[in-house]
Amino acid sequence: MKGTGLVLWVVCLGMIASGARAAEVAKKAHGETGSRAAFSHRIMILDEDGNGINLPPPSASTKPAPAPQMKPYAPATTCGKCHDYAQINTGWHFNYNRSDVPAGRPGEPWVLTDLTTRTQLPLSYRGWKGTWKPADIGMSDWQFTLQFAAHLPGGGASETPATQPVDKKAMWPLSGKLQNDCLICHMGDSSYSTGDREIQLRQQNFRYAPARAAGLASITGSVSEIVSSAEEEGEDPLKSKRTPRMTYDASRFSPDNRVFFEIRKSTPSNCYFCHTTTVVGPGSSEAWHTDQDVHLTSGMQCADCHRHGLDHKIVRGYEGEAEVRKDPAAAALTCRGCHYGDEHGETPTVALGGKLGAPHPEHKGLPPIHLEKLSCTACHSGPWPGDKPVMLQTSLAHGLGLESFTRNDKTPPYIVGPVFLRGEDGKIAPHKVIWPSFWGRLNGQTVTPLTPLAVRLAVKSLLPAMTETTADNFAPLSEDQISKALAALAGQKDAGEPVYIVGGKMYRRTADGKLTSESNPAAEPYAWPLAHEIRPAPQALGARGCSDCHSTDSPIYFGTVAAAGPVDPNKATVKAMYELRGDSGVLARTFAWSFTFRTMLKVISVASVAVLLGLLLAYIFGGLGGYRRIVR
Amino acid sequence: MTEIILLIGLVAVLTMAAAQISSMGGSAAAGDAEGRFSWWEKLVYGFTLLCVAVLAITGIGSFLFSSSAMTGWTLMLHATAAPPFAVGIAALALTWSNRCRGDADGVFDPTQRVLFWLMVLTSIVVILSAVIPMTPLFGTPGQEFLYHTHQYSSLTLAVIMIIQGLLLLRGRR
Repeated sequence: MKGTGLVLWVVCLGMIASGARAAEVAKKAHGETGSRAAFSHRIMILDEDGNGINLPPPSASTKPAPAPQMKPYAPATTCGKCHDYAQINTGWHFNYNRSDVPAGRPGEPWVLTDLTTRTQLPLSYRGWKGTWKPADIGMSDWQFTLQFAAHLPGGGASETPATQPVDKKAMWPLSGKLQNDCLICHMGDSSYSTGDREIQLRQQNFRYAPARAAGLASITGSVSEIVSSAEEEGEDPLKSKRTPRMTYDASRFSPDNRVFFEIRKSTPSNCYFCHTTTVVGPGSSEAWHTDQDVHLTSGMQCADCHRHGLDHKIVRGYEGEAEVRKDPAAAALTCRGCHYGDEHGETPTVALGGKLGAPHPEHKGLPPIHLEKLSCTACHSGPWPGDKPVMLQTSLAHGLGLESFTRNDKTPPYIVGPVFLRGEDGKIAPHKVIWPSFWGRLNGQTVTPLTPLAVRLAVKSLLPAMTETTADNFAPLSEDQISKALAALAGQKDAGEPVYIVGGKMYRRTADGKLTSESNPAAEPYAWPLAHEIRPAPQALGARGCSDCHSTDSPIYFGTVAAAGPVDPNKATVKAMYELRGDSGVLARTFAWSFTFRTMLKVISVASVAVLLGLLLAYIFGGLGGYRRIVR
Repeated sequence: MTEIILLIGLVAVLTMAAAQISSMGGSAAAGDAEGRFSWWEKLVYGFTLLCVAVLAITGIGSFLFSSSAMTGWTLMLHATAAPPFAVGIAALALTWSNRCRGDADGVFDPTQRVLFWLMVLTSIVVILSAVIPMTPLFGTPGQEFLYHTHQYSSLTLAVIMIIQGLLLLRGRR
């Protein structure tokens, strides 16, 4: 009896253990290869309801029936079948509208640009100082998506809009939500078309854009047309039963209705669509004259440093990020972490440096204090500093990556760099800078921006309409235009005095119609770190000697930075680099001037050492001679 | 605390030494047969002491009272006093070396002579450890080594000159 009981216990325990294991396996959505080899994604694509998309079999009839309306493929369910979509959406590219996510280090803002009103307003959901949240200017999540969709990867406010009160003009039920389109970053070949995607997004075909962009289908009709037609007919667009028509490309489907995607870790080409920066205007040169980041030309990829796990919280690579993330591993992915190693690293591979073959910097002749006062990017990143920062254009601000027939060197917004400012860690680092330009309402010392639409409705023809094809479409407004526009805005019932922010100053209209200018925090420039393109050591600041920075005309101290925007250059705020950092000009000039005597200092010192050494040797040998005489 | 006392002592001794020197007698440009200092020798010694005082205050003072490395006006003052110090110490070595020979008669006792030659040797280290980092010879580890060498050799030189000054004063009583 006892033996039988024991056996029963063992059997029961075994059943419990195997049941638990089965439950654990059942929880997993998919198996894992555990290999670094790329997994071949020949998969069934799903619609937003999770149903497989199966093309109808070819018809044998001589009169083929019209293709049935099919639902668009949805990344959330297709990719989400195997990859935790919810966890992926916690990543930096998608979590920007969440209030429970820390703002983090300031980064590139979205820029609301309007030619007619001369607006260039930095926006960010993250609330970085110097930016405005879309809600602060009355911009709903729908309007934000319409404005910036082309370079939005999906997710975030485009998938989980939270504007309150609800925007009555939002057409989410018709357009669908803009899901996080994984293929923007992870399509390893060139079959993904961001241009086709942008066309669909412009037509408010959010639900259909991923399929079109991946080349899986053609789309006929648009949500924007449906809305316009309904409104013209006096109907509620949301009640319309019309939808864009989707036709899948049968050649992309295997006989068993599977589609092949070339899925890879993000390549630089994927990243560059949203993260390209180019120099334009004076100081620029043709693309083939410029070099890519030295890391890329050395064979690395962006994602070799900017890594992440499934949560897609991409490592940004700045000093101190490991403490912010509470993840020591991130310290190994900074400039110093890779090149020097992290002395606090828990493993030898982290502590030793040389990650991915990163060379150990010699920094010959560089006093160590420079490594405390300057970031690595100060000497190694961005365009070689000149007397003035250069004009820059970026993907997010200027739509780089999308074909344009009208974009030119003067296309706003106006961003300049490198501007050498102190970062949050107190170190001098190069930054990109934008001076906000907008119309607003002043209450106390606080300025609240007005949307360009609101301004245009108020000022009407006082500000002639500008388009992308209009010459000088972002030219400065005259004082008369500004004064009249402010007068027109003053007639509005909104509370607050109307003001115009441009060129680092705030303009107000006096009772007699004159304009006065003064400073205001809202007019201060917004800056964010510039980290690429990285130049190799022979092209870093200091390669030509100390005078690259320590001279009376060095850009890092004495470069002049004029507020860039639709402002008369004679009226724009102009400051030297040291002024922008809050440093003393007297100290800067005196220190630079003292370097002219550096060579003399070395010569005198060496000559003095020669005298001392000669004297010492003379008396040593003299003393030795005397000793020898004594010995003899 | 000991560092503060050291600093105060350094300044006090230099001041007293300068005061004592100014009360010394002297006949001509060169020392006379009894080994007393000439006006030239006093000038050189006083000038060098002044430079050392400025360098010590800016250098050791930064080390004692600042949490960061020497920068700004302090650094410029330190670098401005460095070439005159180099000239002064070379001139001092030239003017005193004959008196400090092992078989020389004169004002310096054996201890002071040893201190003199230690001062010469230490000055060479101080100057070289300050100038070599200004050349592209050494990377960061070498720069840090030279920085620490400059720190400790400067401190050593300051101590030597304090002792030397005290002995000089004692010899004149």
